[in-house]
Amino acid sequence: MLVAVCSLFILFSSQVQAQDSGYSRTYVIQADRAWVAPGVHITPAFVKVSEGKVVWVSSTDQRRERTSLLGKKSKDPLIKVKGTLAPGLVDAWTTMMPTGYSGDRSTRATRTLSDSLPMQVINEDTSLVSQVLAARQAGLAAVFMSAGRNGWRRGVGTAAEFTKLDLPQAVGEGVLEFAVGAQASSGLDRTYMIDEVEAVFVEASDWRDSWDDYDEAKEKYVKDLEKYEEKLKEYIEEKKKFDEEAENAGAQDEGGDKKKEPKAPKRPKVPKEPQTSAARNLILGAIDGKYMVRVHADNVADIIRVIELKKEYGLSLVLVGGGSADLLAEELRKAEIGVILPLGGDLHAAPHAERGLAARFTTLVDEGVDVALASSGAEGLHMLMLTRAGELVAAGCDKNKVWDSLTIVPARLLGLDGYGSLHRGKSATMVLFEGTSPFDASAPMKAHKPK
Amino acid sequence: MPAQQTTILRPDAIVAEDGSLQEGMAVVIKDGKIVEVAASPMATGTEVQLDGVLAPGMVDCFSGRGADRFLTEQSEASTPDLLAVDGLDMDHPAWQALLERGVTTVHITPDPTNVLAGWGTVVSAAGESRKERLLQQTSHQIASLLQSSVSDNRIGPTSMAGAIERLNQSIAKVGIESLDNSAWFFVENSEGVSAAKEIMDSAKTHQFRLVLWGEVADYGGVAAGQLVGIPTFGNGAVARHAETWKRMAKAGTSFAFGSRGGSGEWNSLRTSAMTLSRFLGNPGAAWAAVSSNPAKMLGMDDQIGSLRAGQRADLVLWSAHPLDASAAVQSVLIGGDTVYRAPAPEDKQ
Repeated sequence: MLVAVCSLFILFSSQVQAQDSGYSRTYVIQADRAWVAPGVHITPAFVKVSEGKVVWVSSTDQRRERTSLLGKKSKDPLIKVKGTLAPGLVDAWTTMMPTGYSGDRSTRATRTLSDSLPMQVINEDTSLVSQVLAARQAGLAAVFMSAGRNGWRRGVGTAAEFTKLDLPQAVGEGVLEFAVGAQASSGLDRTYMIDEVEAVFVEASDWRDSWDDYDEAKEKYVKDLEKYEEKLKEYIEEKKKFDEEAENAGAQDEGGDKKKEPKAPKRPKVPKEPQTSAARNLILGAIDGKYMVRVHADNVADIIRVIELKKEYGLSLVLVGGGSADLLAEELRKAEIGVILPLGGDLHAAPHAERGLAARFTTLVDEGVDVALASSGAEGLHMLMLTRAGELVAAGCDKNKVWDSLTIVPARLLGLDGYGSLHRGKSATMVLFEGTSPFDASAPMKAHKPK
Repeated sequence: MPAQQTTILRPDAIVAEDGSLQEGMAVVIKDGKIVEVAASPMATGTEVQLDGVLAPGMVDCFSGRGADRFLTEQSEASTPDLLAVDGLDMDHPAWQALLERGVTTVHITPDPTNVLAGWGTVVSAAGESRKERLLQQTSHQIASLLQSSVSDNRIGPTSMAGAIERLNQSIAKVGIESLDNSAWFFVENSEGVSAAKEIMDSAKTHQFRLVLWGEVADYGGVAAGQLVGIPTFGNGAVARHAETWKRMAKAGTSFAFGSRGGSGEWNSLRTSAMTLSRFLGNPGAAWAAVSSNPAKMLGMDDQIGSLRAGQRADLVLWSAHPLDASAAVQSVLIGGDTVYRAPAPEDKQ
């Protein structure tokens, strides 16, 4: 096995998130082993946890004795456990959402899920709490919460971690979501056609271009206005003259030649400022790199256009679903598009099938595409994630690759710096398993919730 | 069955009845049966080293797979004479799929549509002949007190009371035989459970079995201390069930999984067992739910469901513990004959 014994193991992560999840205590867990990160397994393992985050990981006890002002000596408390510690799972595709939250049903969606999320405060949403508890039991440390239900994902979803009170708390910027595909139907379950998704990006960039037109039009308007004012003066003069002449002529005789009455000049129109819209601002946010984009697509034709969309607008984009993604593995790798595959559907029907999930997973991973395996559902599916992923191993997939696709890869695809490994600063929501791997249900597995 | 010579199987480990792995055990088989399970067996014969974990084949407690049509007769409200065996298709692709997933015995039941749905049949997933594969031609009468059966507005009764009445009439007319001394009642709430008890009380027998369909939360404490059938579960139902299964297990209920009415997935028997193992933190109870418990429900625990002398040599060699999701079936023996061998890894590509 890949057990690397390290005498001292302290690694620094890029960033420590500042949000307060309510965890307050400091302690050290001693376990038989730890799966720290891909390829890094240590025996035995000591993990120091403080305020819900990993402080250090080592194969020796690094606790130091402190002396208090009163001269009392003390050390951080040590908790001894049996089994292997590993990072908590990251589920990159769930249907978890607050009770009563129903996304945004319009095609010009602006709803932002994180606005509706309880933030650390005690909340009455017991259903959401039970969903989080189920997720915790399944070993999850973070999830992606979608802004809409399966068929009509639209709006801004968010990655979320769990607080001490078992409520989801939004992490990072929102993620703009689209579902495209031939299954588009009417009403609430309507998905976008890929044309419509492209159209909103085209419209948004056209709109941005239209500011240039506006600026030109405004310059022209200023000049036109000057000209107009000159003409107006001329007109007033002429009109005065005309009126006088007309009066004089009227007094002399009634028959003579009539002079033409001068016409008033037209006032130039004020150019219209381009209209802003919240929906378009979201798209512009995606183009500017503020929002990540998730596109649910399965067809080859759709995925090809999703790849083009990413290239055209330089989006940070993840493909979700990806039923045919394996057929475009090379293109996806070149375009640096990660894929989130659902751990449901055809797995049990045909685990060894030519293009069953195991085969599709292996094709993508071998090509070098970032692949996350996600539950694609709510609490029930979370609880089957490890068994389903384990069945991929039974069907011939690489065990370590499968494990990575449940932890470090989804963390990367969701832009969650604080998850997916047990390095310094990462989440201390971990799993503790006693079997040969987390996939072994013949031995106990527990989730560790930070204190 | 042709006479087989004594074979001593030496796997890396066997799955004991409590679900734990025991290393260094030999399983001796002869004439299609297990004759001895011991570290140093008395018997002599051909020694075979096996790479992996040897377990009894899994038993599907109630299923619709391997039958060639819906096993339902809907022109009458009660069809006590419907025989699942008549709908058997021995060449159904399901049998091969079941072997590949380590299932060796299936109890095929009629669809629980009518209040008396008909008789089940117990079938081995492989064998030389139809006769050899039929372990029990007719097993148990299936009675249904599901809402869909007791409020059928076409032919059936329209209420639970009506269903009870109909079953009692049937017993009065034909005797308890119409219902079988050990009928299986498919129920989906505590009302159904009380009705089943009432009917069997009035027939003066307590030999019936319950299959708890539907929402487990509806049963309360009715199944305390009993062995009950439960449908395998798939995606959505898992979390809803978790807490209730735990409480039922605490109250002494033991479970036997059947795939009829459960999730339609081929692997649902093992997936459900693995999930139950996680819920209960008790791999033994979870393993029993797909091996010895369904055998007990069928009254066949002397023949199938565990690794004991006297049992049929229906054995599955796994690459690891069968409740380890990453374990795969290596080979399957039915009646001591190898009926399935997994393709070598390079063939899978």
